[in-house]
Amino acid sequence: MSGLRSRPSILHGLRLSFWGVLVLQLSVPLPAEEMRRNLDEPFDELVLTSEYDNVRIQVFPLPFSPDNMPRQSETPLRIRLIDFPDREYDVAWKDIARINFHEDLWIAEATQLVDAGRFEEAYDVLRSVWTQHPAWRGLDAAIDRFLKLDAGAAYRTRKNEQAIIVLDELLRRRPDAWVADALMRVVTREFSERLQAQDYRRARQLINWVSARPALQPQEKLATLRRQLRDLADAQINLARQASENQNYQEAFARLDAAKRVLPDDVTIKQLAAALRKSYPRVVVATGRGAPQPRTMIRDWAGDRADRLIDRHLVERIMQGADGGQYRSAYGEFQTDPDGLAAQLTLLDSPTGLALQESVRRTIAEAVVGQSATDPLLARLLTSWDVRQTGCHWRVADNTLRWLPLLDRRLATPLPDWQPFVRDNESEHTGTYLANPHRGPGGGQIVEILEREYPRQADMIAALESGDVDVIDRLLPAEAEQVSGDQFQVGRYDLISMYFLVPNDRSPLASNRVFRRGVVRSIPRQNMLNLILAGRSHDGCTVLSGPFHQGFERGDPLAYAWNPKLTPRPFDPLLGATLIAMSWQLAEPPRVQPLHAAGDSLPPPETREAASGRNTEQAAEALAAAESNASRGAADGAPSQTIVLVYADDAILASMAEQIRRSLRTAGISCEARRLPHGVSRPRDDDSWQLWLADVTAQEPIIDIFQMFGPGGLVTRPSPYVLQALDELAAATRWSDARNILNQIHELVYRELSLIPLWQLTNHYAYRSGLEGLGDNLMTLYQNVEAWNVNR
Amino acid sequence: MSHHARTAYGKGRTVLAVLPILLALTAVVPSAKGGDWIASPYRAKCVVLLDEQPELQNVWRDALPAALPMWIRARLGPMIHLETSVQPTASWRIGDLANVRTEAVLHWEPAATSFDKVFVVVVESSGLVVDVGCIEWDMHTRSFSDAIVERHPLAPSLDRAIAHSLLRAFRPIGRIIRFEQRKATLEMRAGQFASSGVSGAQPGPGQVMQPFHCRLNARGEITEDGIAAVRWTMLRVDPSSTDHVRADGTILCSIDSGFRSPFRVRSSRRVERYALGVRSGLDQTIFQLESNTDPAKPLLGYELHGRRPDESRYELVGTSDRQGRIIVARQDPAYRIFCVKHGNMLLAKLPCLVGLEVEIKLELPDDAERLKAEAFTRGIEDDLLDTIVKRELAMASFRRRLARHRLTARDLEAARRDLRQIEALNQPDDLFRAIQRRETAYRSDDPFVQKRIDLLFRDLRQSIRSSMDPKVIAKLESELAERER
Repeated sequence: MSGLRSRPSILHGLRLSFWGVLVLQLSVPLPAEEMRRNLDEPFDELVLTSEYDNVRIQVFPLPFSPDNMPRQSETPLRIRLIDFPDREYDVAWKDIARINFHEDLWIAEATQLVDAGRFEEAYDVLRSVWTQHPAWRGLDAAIDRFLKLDAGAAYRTRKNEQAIIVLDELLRRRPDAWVADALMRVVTREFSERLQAQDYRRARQLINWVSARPALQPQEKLATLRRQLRDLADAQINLARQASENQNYQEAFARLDAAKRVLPDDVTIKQLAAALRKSYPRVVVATGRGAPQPRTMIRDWAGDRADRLIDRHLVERIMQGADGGQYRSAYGEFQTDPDGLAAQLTLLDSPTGLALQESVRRTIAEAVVGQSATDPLLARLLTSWDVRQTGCHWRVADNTLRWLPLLDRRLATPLPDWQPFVRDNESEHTGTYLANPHRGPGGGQIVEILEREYPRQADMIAALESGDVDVIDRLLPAEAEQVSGDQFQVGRYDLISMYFLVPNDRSPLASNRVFRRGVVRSIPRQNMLNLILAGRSHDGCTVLSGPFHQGFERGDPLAYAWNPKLTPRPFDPLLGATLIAMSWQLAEPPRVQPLHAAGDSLPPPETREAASGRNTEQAAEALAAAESNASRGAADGAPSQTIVLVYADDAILASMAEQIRRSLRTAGISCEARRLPHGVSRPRDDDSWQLWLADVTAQEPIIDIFQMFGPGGLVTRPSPYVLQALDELAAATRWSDARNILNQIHELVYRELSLIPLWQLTNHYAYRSGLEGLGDNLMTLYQNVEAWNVNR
Repeated sequence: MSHHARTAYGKGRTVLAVLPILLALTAVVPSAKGGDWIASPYRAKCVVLLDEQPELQNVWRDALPAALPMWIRARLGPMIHLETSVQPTASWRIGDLANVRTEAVLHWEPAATSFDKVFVVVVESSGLVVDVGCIEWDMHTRSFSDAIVERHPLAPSLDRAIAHSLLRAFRPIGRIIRFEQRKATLEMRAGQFASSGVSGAQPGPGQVMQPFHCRLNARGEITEDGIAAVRWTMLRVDPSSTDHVRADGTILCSIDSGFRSPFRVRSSRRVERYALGVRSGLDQTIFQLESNTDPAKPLLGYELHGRRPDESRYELVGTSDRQGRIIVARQDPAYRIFCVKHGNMLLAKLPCLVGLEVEIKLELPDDAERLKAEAFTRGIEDDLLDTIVKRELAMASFRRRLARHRLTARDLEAARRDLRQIEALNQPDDLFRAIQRRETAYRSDDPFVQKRIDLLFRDLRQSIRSSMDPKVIAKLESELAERER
C-alpha cells in the first residue's frame, strides 16, 4: 500500500492515528492507472430483473444511499448511463432487481485485494470509500480485516515497525485481548532486534511507548524489557570496574561509554565516570570537524586545534593586545624590535637542541624566503636578509616586515619530543591524544583528550548536556546562546572566522569574473547571516566585502586591513542570474590575449573583454542571449548548467552550503552541494567543481593574506594584480605603507572576487563547569591545555 | 641486448658486404663546399679518451680506430666518414664534458675545423661496467651537443657502446637556403645520402632545429663572435611531410619565432645560416624572468602560457615566483610555443624545446605601474558591465510595458519609472570622475610603459562613451511620448 510503504518512522507513526495517516496520504498517487480511473470515475450498477436477462447497467452515482433509499413508486428512477453521459433515462423501479452502489463494489474489490495480499491497492480503495462515506455499512469490518491481515503480513516479513503501527490502530478500534497480545509480541521481537543491533535508543523508546499504553497491560513484560537493558548496562559497568582496577583506564572509559549508550541517565555510571576521571584525567571534546590527515591547508580550524597538541607552531599568538597580537614560542623566547621590522628568537637549552636549531632554521628559511631550506638560492638570500645565528639566537631582519610569516607557522621538521601530546589511534569520527610520555613536569594534568565529531551543533549541545562530552570546541553565536545553566560555561574565542566561496581557477566558468559577480549578487548574504544568527545581532558578525574582517567592534585595532570605503555588493538576484547566464553563454575565458602588435595567431579577442564592456557589440549579443536564457531558465526552472559547490565535512559548513544551494536555486541557478570526504579539508586540484565553501580563521591580517593567497592557502593561483600587491607588502618598511597596501588588496579582491566574501562570525566554546583552566579569549581550544584540571 | 642494437647489427652485416665498394667511393673525402654540401658525406672525427686501465688500453687502443667507423657505417651508411683517434683520458673525466670548450677540441684535434663534426668520447671503467660519455662539436656553428652519458657492460662491445653514444650525440645540420613567411628550406648536409633511404640520422617530421647565423670575412673565414643562435626562434621540420629529406637533399621547415622577422641579419655572401637538429636531454627548463632595465630585479607574477605547436589554445604553465622563476617540466612533446603575460599584456612569445637548456633568461619590461592601472581599469569595466546589464534589464521591462495593447495609467507610470532608472544608469559622469581621480596615480618613467597606461585609459573612456550613448534615452522618451498620445 503506497501509504504504508512511505509510512513515517515508528515514533512519528505512533503519534498518528491510522486514519490520520490516511488523510495525510490523500495526495499520494494510486499505484495502478486502472484503479485510479475507477476511483476517479465511480459508477453504481443497476441489475435489471430476469425479464431483461439480469442485465447490469453502469450509471453515474445515484443521489441516495442504502440508508435513504427513495420510496419505490410510479415515478421512475432517472439515471445517466456511463456510456452515454449526455442523455438521461428513466427506469421503472419494477424493472430493477438490485442496486449495487459503488461503495459496496469498492469494498468488495478491497476485500479481494486484501485476500490477494495487495494491501497498498486495497488501502487506496478503502480510503476512497472512507473519504466519501465514513459510516458506510460494512466499511468498518472491511478496515478491521484489512488492518489485521496487513499487520500479519508485516509481521511475517519482519517489518516490525509497520506491524506495530497497524496493530496499535487496530487495538484502538477494537480493544480485544488478542490484538493486545499480538501487539506485545511484535514489540518484544522488535525490542530484541534493536538490542541485537545495539540500537539502544530505539529500544528505550519502545519501552517508553509501551509504558504509555495501559491497554497493553504490560507490567510484567515491561519489567522484563527493562531488566534486559539494565543487565546489559551492568555488564559493561562491571567490565569498566575491572578495567579500572587494572588501571586500564582507556578500556574502563570505553566500557562506561558503552554502558552510557544503554542507559544514559544512570546514576551509577555517572558516579563511576567521576571517580575514573580523578584517577585518569580525561577530557572528551565535541568537534564539528576532525583534524585533516594529511594537512593540506596552512590555516585550518581543526588542524590548528590539533597542532597545539602535537605540532606546536614556531610562534603562537596568545592574545590580542591594544598594539596588536601578543606572541610566544614554545621553543624559546620570542621578541620583536620596537619598530616592528625585526624579530628575534632565543631558543631554549635542551638535549635535542641541535635538532631544534635545525628545524627552526629551516622553518625561518621557508617562511621568509619562501623556498626549501635546501635550495642553493637560500644561502644568498639569507645573507642578504641578515639572518644570523649567534649561539641559539636567530634574528631575521632586512628592514622589511618579512619576518611576519614566521608567526603561527608549523615547524619545517616536526619535533615530537617537544609536543605535549601524541596522537593515538584514530577512527573516522573520533581522535585520541595521549599525554606525551617525554613531556616535562609542566605538562599538566590531562592524560587523554578524546575528540568526537558531531554532524550538527545541536547534537554537540545535547552531548554536553547529557554528559557525553566535557567541552564543545566550536559553536556559532546563536547556538552558543542555547547552552545555558550553571553547570556550563561559554566563552568566546578571540578569533573571527571568515567564510568565503573560493572560485576554482581550473574551472573555465568559475575563473570568469562575470560569473563570480553573478554569484555574489545571487546570494542574499545579509538574510542568510540573519538566519545563521537566529535573527539577532552579535558583535563581530557581519557581511564581508573582501578578504579582511571588520574586527569585533567598531575601531577594533585588528581590523587595520579592512577598507571601509568598500561596502558589500547588495543582493540583486535578477542581475546575478543574468550575469551567470552571460558567463555560460560566453565562451571559455581567455588564457592569452592576442598580440595585436606582432600580428601573431594567438587566440581571437576573447569574451572577457566583451563581457567587460570593451567590445560592446559582443557584450550586447552575449547579454541578449543571457537574458533570453535567464528568462527561459526562470520560466522552465531548467538552468543551463549545474554549479558544484564543495565543502569540508563540517557541521557548520554543511548547513551553510545547503542554504547557499537553496538561494542559488531560488535565483534560478542549479547548484549541487557536495561534501568532501571525511578528513579532507580542500577539494581536488581539478575542474570537477566551481565553488568551494571555506572558512578561514582570521588572526593577524598581514599574515592571513599571505596564507590565503599562498601555497596551501585558499587561492592557489592569485591574479598578477594581487601577487604584485603581496610582493609590495612583503617589501614594505613601514606599518603605514603596509596598511595602505592591505587596503589596496582589499579593493583588488573586492573587484576581481578571487574570493567571494560571505560573512564573518565569532566563535564560541562551551564546557562543563567542573573543568577548570581553559581560560578566556582563547586563540585555540587547547591554548592552555597544560593548566586544565578535571578534578571536580 | 636491446632490439635496437640487434637491428643495427643486422644492417651492419649487410653494409659490411658492400664495404669495399663504398670505401673505394669515399676514399677521397670531398670538401663540404658548394654542391658537395649535400653530395658528400659528413667529415667527422671521433677523439676517444680512453681510461688508462690496462685491460681497456690493451684491447681497444688499436682496435677502436678500425671498429668504430665500421659501426657508424653500419648504422648510417655512407653519409658520414668517421676517423677515430684514441688518447689516454689524462685528467679528463666524463663529468668535465659539460664544460668542454672549442679550445679543448682544438687541443685534441688540431685539424678540427676541417671536419664537420668532432666527437669527444670519454671512457671510464669501473669494475664490471664501463661508462661512456660523448659530446659532439659542430664545426659550422661552433656549438656543442648535450653530453651523452651511458653505462654499458664492459664485455667485448665497447666499440658498439661508443657508437651508440656517438649516434645519440650526433646532430644533423642543414643550410638555410630560403625563407619566406613562416617557412624555411634547408639543404641538409649529406642530404643526398639521406634520400637514398640508407640514413637514419637525418631529421624526420616534427624534428626541432635551432637556427644559427654565421658571418664570414672577405676571406671566407668566420669573424670573431660571428656565430650566434637566432634568438627566440626554432625551425620545425614540416610534420605533414612524409619524406624525411627530398631527393635534392632539401627539407621544408616551419619557422616558430617570437619575432615577426627572425632572420634580421641581411642576407649576403658573407652570411651563412645553419640549422642544427636538437634534442631535449633534461627533465626541465627554468625560465628566469628579469627586468630589462634592472637585471638584478626578478619579475614576480608573470604568467607563462604554453601550447603544443599543432594547437592554437594556450594553457597556463606557471607564474613566476619571487625569484622570477618558472620551472617547466618536460612533457610530450617537449617542443612548445610559450608566451609570457603580465595581466592582460602579452610581453613575449618564444618557441622552446623544454629540456634543451637548463635555464632561459628572459629580459622583460617591468610594467608594475601598468599592471596597477590595468587592475583599476578592469574594475571599472566590471562596474560598467553591471550597469549595462541593469540598464538593459530596465529597458526590457520598459519595452514590455509599452508593447501592451492597451496601456493603463499605471502602466505608463511604471514605464516612466523605468525610464528614469534607465536614465540614471546611463550616466557616464560618475565613471569618468572615478577614472580622473585615479588616472594620475599611475605614472611610469619608462615611456613604453607609460604609453601602455595611457592606452588603457583611452580605451576605457572610449568604451564608456560607446556604451552610454545619450541618444538611447532620447529614443526611449520619444517611444513613451508616442504611446502617451
